[in-house]
Amino acid sequence: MTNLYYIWEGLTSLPILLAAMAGVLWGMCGGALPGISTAIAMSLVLPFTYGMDPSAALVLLGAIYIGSEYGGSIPAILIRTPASGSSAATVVDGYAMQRQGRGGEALGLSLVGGTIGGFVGLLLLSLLTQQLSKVALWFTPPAYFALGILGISVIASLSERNVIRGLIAGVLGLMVATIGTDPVSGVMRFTFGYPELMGGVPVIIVMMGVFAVTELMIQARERDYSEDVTERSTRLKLPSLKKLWSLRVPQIIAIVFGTIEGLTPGGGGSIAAFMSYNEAKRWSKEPEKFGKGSEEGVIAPETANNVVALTALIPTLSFGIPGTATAAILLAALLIHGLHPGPNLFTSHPEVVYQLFSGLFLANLGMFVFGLIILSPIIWLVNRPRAYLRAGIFGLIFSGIYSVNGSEFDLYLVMAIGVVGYLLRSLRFPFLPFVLAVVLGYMIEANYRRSLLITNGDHIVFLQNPISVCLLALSALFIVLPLYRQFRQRRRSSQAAHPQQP
Amino acid sequence: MATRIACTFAALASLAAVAAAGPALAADKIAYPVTTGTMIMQSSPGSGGDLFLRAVADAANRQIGANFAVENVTGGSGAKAMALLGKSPGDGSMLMGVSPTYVNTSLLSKPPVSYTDLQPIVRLFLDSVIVVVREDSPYKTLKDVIEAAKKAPHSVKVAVGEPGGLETQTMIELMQKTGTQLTVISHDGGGDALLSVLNGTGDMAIGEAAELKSQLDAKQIRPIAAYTEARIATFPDLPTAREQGIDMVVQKFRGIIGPKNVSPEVIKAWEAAVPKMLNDPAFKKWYEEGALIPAFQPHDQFEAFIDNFGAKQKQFFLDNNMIKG
Repeated sequence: MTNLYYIWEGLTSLPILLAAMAGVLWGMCGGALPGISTAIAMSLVLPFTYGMDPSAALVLLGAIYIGSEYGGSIPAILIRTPASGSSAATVVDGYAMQRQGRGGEALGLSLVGGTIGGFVGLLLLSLLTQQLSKVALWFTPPAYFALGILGISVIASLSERNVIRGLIAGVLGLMVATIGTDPVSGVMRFTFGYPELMGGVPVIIVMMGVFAVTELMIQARERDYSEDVTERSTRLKLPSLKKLWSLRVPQIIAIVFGTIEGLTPGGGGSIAAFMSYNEAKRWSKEPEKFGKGSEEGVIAPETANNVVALTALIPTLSFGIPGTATAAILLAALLIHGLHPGPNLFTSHPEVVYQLFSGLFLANLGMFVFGLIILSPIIWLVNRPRAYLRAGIFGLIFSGIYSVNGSEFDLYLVMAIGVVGYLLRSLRFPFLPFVLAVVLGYMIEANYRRSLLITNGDHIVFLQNPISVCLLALSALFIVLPLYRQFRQRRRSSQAAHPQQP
Repeated sequence: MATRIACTFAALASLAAVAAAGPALAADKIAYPVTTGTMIMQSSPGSGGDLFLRAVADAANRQIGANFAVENVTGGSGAKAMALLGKSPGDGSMLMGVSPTYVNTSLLSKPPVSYTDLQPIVRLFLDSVIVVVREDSPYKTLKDVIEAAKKAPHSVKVAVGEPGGLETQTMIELMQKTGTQLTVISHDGGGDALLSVLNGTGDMAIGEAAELKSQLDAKQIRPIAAYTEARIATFPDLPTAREQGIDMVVQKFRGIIGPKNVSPEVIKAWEAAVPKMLNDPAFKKWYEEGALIPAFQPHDQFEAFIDNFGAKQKQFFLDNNMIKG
């Protein structure tokens, strides 16, 4: 009962309301700007929270997390620039929709998807924290490895009839993922003496390079500057309830993967978004639409990353172990206020926890309302003549990348990745396998090697863990099935072509 | 907003108080060549190192006649912060808060400015590095672990944080000293290593007491040894590795460094300030909660300590093929 009182108190307290609104608004703006990642948006505000009441401080930071996960999808959809790793999966179909003049629709889908994801995540957080925190413990290195393999097994179907090229792009991505500190021995790999590469190539730089820089290069190559005169929707268009119901499968998938990634450390929004995108495609009735403006392809990653923003707080609060790098900042705020997250937090400081929940509820609501207000002007802004837009995007990308670490090196790196992306696209290699491999490569490699350490090099370890067995079996099925279908189709068509051959 | 306004008022009020008391206090403060100093930190706001340096700057502002502020210069595991410090004047206007990472980064990636190009000023603390097991683990002491490892090599799995870090090194040293074989599994950070112990992937973990506090309080994990010189104040019943017959101490230090040409006045000011800071009640409360062990070393001792530490690290990296001679 006291807990309900704390929730009520949180919902009606002015500082908490203000913290939630300020946080979500700043998060949306910061998240929409490339270079201001969620972590940066939060850490910029962190010093201001020192003097605040602990609940309001946590609400402010949590609201920024929520707002930022959504904000990232605005430039992803409108200008093909993922402002953060977790919005990169949205680029594929979101930008395709924008090019078809359906940008307003895509933004509506991502706003509603994000809000639903946020509320479901909050429900899981407030009701099932104790139970779900155990799920985090199920994931041992073999299970993480198998999860990564499941994610990467989709390469065959992402490659659109060109499995060999898809595999080549995937291998290139895995190569990029091996740059940096070796996950087991700590030896520097392929850093060529640059200390900037010790931590690997940041995922956000790969995303910006492959999506945004590549797109700028492709657009610059177009000869005529004729403006396309197709009627573009300049208004935000929310999906109807009927449409939402028809999109239930990708949303459920997104909630499942968002929850898993939120609960387990090291994953985070980008893995959740890509895994949901992949699975949404796999379970879709119209997988051929993916990549060409599929509504399912927008709503799945957008729901997933908002689920992560909330479920990542579960291990943060109940173990003191942040589920994502961003949740780590929230952890720091807890510590600054003398609160020790961990199994005892819920009994020692229930008022802080429950007021945090009510603040996050308000933040989710605020995100939806602010989205309705600010999106239409933003859509108008993006529909200005292309030449202005391109220069603006160029400035936005490079100032954003520079501001992450204040490092010139990162600028060269994003251009290099952009060139790789450009070559892939010009040579008609599918680039999604490349991105997917970069996102998942580290997780797969690190956990493969950790697993083998457990059994001193015996691969039996992957068969001893039930989660790993199930996921690996699923992956094997998903790899073999399309190949078998392709094989059958080819035999049939060759029979049809030469029916009378002896 | 109410809190914000209250906060602003509080800030203004304290400012006024400082302004009024300023002249009187300044006389008691330790003289410093410049009025404002930047203390740079290689990790991001909110990280362990950042919180440490902010607490230090806060305590220093009460003792030294200058105003210190923390700036986060992230990138390249500290290489960028070191490069910036190396270019700064030696008048004490720029200093850096460091942990063993800055030595390791210097050795592993050979950045343009390495630890030997910088001047250690003072050492403040050592971290309490402890070994923990799950509450229901059969191991009661480090000796039990050693015996189990002697019976069946590689049967005991140790979870450590980042690969190639001080924790891995400690475990390799332990194996060499006791002639045993342990399996060392590195993770992406201390938190992941702790989860590994909770879910049974690792049989034990090694880490800083502050990071493990909440699980220790909740009795999910149990400490079995401390890698410190003496017993840790907050764990009076926890025997050290030395007491258990294993002669090892982990020196995960935290200190302040400056550019190579840092002036003697700056060094003198810090040498005078740190012992006072360590007795400052607010600072004391902070570091005792974090189980940091005050381990003040003046400049010449700290310099020798860093030289020795660097040589030891280099040998370790060479022995394990992590760098080439």
